[in-house]
Amino acid sequence: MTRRVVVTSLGVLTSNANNQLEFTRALRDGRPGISRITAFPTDKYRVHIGGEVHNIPATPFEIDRTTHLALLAAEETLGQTGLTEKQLSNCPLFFGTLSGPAISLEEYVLSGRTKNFLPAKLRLATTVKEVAAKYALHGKVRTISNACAASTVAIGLAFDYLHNDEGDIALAGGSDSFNLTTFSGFHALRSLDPVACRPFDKNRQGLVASEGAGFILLEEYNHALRRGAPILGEILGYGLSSDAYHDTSPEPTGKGALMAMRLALASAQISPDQIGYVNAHGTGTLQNDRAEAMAINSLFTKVPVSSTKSQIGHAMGAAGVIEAIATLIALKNGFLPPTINFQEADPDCPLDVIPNQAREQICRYALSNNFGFGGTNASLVLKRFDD
Amino acid sequence: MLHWSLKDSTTKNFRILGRGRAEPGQLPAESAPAWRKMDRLSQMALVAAGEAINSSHLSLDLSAAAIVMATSMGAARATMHYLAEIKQYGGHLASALTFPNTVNSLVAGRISQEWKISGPSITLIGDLAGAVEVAVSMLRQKKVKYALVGFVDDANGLITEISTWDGAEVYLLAATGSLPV
Repeated sequence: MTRRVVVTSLGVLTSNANNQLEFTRALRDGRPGISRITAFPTDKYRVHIGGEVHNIPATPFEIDRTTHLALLAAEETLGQTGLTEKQLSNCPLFFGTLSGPAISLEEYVLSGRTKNFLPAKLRLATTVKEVAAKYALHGKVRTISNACAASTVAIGLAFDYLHNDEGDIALAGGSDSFNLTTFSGFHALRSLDPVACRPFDKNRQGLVASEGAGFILLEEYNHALRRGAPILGEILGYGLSSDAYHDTSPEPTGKGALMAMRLALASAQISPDQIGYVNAHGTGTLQNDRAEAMAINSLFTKVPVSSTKSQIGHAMGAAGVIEAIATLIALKNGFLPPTINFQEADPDCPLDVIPNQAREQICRYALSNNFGFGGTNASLVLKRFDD
Repeated sequence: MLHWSLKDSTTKNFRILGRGRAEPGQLPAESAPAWRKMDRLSQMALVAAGEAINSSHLSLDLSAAAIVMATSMGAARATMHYLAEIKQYGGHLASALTFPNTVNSLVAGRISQEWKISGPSITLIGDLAGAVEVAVSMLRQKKVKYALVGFVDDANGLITEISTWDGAEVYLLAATGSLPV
């Protein structure tokens, strides 16, 4: 018998919101989270904007900022599950990140090793261990590092865990910090927009780097019903594919993206015409948006599409879970979040991008896309919970 | 170590078709010129993957196969090299050529490019048994017919307190019943 997988709790931290409630309002209002970078001096760079998380406690010495953000998002998620410590004890943790403890590695190389430096902070699996330890999660832990699709893949693996009857609950999410490594790299690739994140706009110049974290608690439907948990949405399936094309550029016709979306729909057992909204990867780079638009138009006749990154920037490995959360919030609350900073349509991206203002619209099914370096593609199918 | 993971897994759902190994600096003379320009982590993974495919002695359609790679420190060496350049020249002059090597999943991406594999690709951190579990799960669920599963590391000596076994090992697995008759 097929097991249904629902989401019963979530927590999120982005450049425009420090919790679920703030994020819901920000998404509906189209509130930008992009501002002048404070993490490090940018006077020698061409780009000075980014999406940093503000108004949170300082990062404790013992942990990296990626772990700090993850712990804060996990606290919101797990703090409202209503599950006891015993019930959580076997909960597995699926976590996605692009660069993990990047700031600690920067500190190690750029500042030299100091007397009090903790090498354990440099381990890529350090975040899952900290989250699991803090909440006494003794189930399996997995760190997935599929570039900018990392936390989408993490959600997919957590979905499989429940769908295949390995357990009744699973925590999935991701985190990445705003760091010099990633910012300088995209700067070198000339993939950063110095003005704003403008996905699908004719004048877009690239992405805006940001940071963030998010977690969702996935739960088997009957388990959630039995304990009276609030159901925030449903995960129907996912699809993964590879471009097999280039280290940093997407396959220009969107073939890989299209395959991931098709596989996600097949996994969810629904047809393209049932999808009422697509939360695009929508980075704002010329190549990504063009390829993704081609893929979307190959699959759908006409579907509203927006990019959450226009508001919060690109949170790298955390982007997938944050955008899945945005999609769940949109489905639950009956609105479609806008693509902000949109001024001029790009003929190469002929999409209904929900420009600048949220649209009140109830959808039952939505798709959330994330793609990454090396040509890794992931799509999730999400459903409004209405039964 | 991976071999033990495979031994421990149920063998009802898959067969091992091939196996490849590589150690640091072991790039065969006949390797493609493009491989020579890559970082050592990618080189080792490509050598091991190529050997795993070739040692099967089968002509398989791997276009929809899965790639599941595990690594404990991933791109740490490339990242430290990239950061050393930043330390010397400044972040505003960072290299567009070395930055991609700091991405842990690029190794899996390069395997997909080399053999035109368009199936799922997953990179797991510090978890060899997990990689096998994920690959076997995909085979069991019939999401894929074939999977390249392995691990690669190239970080020993980078950080005194963290040691790794440097090298790569890749297996080609097939779902039971997937082999051509």
